[in-house]
Amino acid sequence: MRANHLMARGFVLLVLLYLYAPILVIVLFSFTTSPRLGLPIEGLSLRWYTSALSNPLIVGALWNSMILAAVSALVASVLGTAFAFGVARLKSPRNRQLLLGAGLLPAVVPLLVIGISLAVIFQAIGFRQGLLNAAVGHVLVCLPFVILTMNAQLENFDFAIIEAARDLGATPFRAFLDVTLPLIRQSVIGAALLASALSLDEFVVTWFTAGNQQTVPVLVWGLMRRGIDPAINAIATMLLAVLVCLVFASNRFGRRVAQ
Amino acid sequence: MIAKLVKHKSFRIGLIQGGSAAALRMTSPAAAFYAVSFALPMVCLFILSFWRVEGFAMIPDFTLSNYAKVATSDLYRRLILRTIVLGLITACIVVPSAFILAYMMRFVFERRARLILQLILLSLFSGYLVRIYAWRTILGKQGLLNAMLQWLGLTEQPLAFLIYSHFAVVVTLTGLLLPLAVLPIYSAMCNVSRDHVEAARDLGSSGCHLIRTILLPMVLPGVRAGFAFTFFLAAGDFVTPALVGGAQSLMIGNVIADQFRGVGSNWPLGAALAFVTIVAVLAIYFSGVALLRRVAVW
Amino acid sequence: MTAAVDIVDVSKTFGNVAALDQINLQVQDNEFVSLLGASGCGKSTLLRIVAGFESSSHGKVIIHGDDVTSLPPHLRPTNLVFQRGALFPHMNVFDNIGYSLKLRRWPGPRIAERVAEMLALVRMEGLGQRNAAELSGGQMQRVALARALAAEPKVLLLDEPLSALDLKLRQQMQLELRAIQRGLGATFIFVTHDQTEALAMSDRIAIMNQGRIVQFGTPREIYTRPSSMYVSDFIGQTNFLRGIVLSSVNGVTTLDVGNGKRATGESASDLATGVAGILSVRPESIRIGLAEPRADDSALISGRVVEIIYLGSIVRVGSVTPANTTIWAELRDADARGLTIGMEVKLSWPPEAATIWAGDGARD
Repeated sequence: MRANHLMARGFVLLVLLYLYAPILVIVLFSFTTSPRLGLPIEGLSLRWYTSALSNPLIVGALWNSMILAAVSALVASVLGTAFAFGVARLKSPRNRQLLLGAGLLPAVVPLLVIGISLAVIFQAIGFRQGLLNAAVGHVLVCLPFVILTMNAQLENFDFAIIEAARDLGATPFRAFLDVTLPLIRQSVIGAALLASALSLDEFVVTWFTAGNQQTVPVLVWGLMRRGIDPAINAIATMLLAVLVCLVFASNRFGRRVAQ
Repeated sequence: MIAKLVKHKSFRIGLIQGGSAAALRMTSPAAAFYAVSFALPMVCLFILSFWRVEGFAMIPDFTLSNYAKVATSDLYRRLILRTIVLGLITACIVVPSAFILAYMMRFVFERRARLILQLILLSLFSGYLVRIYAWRTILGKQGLLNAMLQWLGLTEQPLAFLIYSHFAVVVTLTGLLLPLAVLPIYSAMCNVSRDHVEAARDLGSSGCHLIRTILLPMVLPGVRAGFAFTFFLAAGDFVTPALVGGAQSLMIGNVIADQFRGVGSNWPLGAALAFVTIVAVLAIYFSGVALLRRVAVW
Repeated sequence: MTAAVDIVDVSKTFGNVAALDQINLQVQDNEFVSLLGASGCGKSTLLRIVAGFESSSHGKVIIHGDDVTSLPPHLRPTNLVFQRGALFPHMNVFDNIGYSLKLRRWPGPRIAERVAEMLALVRMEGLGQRNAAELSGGQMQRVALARALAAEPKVLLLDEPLSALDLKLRQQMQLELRAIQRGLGATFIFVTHDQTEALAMSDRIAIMNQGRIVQFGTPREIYTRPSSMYVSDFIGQTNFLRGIVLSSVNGVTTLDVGNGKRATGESASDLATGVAGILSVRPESIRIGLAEPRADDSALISGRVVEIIYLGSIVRVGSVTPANTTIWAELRDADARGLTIGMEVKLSWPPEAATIWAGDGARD
């Protein structure tokens, strides 16, 4: 029994190490002095950060990434919340499961397929590749995750509360403002933050839709293809820091859901 | 006709009151978005696979020549086969690991389950490109793993197979996809209560038998979803083989991607390749699920 | 005089299933009416149609002379107390109660005054600043009641508001609710599946079964003169005896219940001789004797005691008749002394305590 428990603990730690080793390596090497990515580490410096930030493309990429993140957060959270609400309102559990499944479907489709099919449709309607196209792709990529989180949050939502407001004299819109919105606001913000994290990190769909526009991951990809450049580690670490903050914040907000 | 319907009292009240009419109304914006940005593009991609390319222009047509090219090319067949094999290997590592992990979170480390889940999910959201790139640093010829092995005296020369190989692709994809498989399997596992397991133990079941007859059937939907996630996404990934696979471990995704963004691109051929791969992957997936059903007896 | 609530010919179908089938019900002003029935009988649907949350497939709802059938819930002069309170969890008690007044743009001081009045009414003075989430089950329902009454609705609708409370608290709340209704002189429509609750509180009870109202009357009428076997079985406990009508004059009917035994009771109308009839008699009306019964007792069914259950103030005695029917009687402890299991006894009851309908009781 004791040995079993120890083995179980070992397994979990091993998995976590496996998941986090790459991240630790990136962070560690972003602070080294030598351009050689190997052990032992000779010294610590911030030179790769200065080198990364002096890249002439970084400002534009950062700006584009922020625009995309904001748009996906906004659009995906509105669409996804409404969708999750609709699912929660259905009475039959079977229909609910079916509709939820449909909402999550794009998450199982490889990003490559989503990316090329979006490239094709924009080409077909004569839309030049650019940020707008990428935004559509980002919303599509984020939406299933927003639906999934909101669905979990709304599972215990008591719809009688909305009815109570209506019964006491509130118009549908007023009931939404007074009751629904205050109750789901935290969760929606949580979902929106998650969507922005996904968008910031999105590479594949952007690659096929954004044309010549740079985003941070597209820029990183370009650097990676050119060879080993420790500046990649610096950019990646900064990106990581932002993503971790967003996911943490998303978690904090999401947990404070009123029921 | 529609105006009459809208004017009809019960319809109007139906909208105000909710129920399934309201449910449909609330899901419709997202559904419309999916229709134009997800379903329609798929259809277009399919149609495109029957077009042809002349010079640098795509010509609307109905030709099977792209599919013929895929069918007759040794290279494409090999790549598709390799993609499926690597995807399956990844899934066969990821799904059982996720299952064990989910079991432990549910029944062994119940109190820490939330923390473990958060950690696993956090890794999912922390940099897709970054993590792939990091594995190159770890597995490279002068990478961390080789350095460590040599330092420990286990090897004298750096091991070459660690990077730019099938091994590197599977290792990297496993790390990328494990969190996605844990999520559905753990949530299905949460529906299994300790009582179920104890009742089974009490009735004389244990070990493999317990897993096959009790656990697996009860978490089957989660396992199926986890399998779908890992297999589909592994088979569709082109960044991993491009960064850590090298020339000998290219997958079909790389070829498809090149047909859409690269020198001498050929969209219709890329579309045909994509659909052939999708059909092959789905066929394998459904046989895998059928096999899983057979294993999980109750 | 127009009724406070007039439900005219209301039907509701979900797909092919009729949830409500031509309901007609008139509730008078200041009346406490209960809709009583098993789950799925349509009582909640009917209440929600009156509140405006469900639309009827057919029929009208008229409140104090105004047809409200097509009005949305926020324009109806009714308020609803929900089963689990449905308090706004992000507001305190004061804001919950004052919500409808705020929507009606009452000035702040008047709202405060009214909310204080309402808090006093439900005996929660000084708890206005409490968070809705911190309340106990009973307090929640009190606040829900106060919230629904704050804007002085013409009709208060209550959807099983006490069903989530434990027995003691429920009984106490029943009394309070009834007192509040009397004090305000308001019209209450109360949905419940608990027959004791309905009997204890209502002026009149509408018993519903399978989307229809099967009887509408005062608690006493319903208990003593159930209109059908269903009602008689649903309300309280009863014994059924099947037989053939021997005679039926002036509403007094005698059945031949087999083995040459007779049973007499009252029927709503005279029944034809020779048809099948069914008699219902409440356990508390049955007398058990070893000696010959009194002359005016309608029946002297013989039986053998098979069960004696001591319940403190009363004793339940089960006897099996020669026709193999178990008849339950409820006796005072003093009357049950001397009875032992296996003893042969005579069962009897006064004819006015039994009700007889035509039919074999196969279906209602």
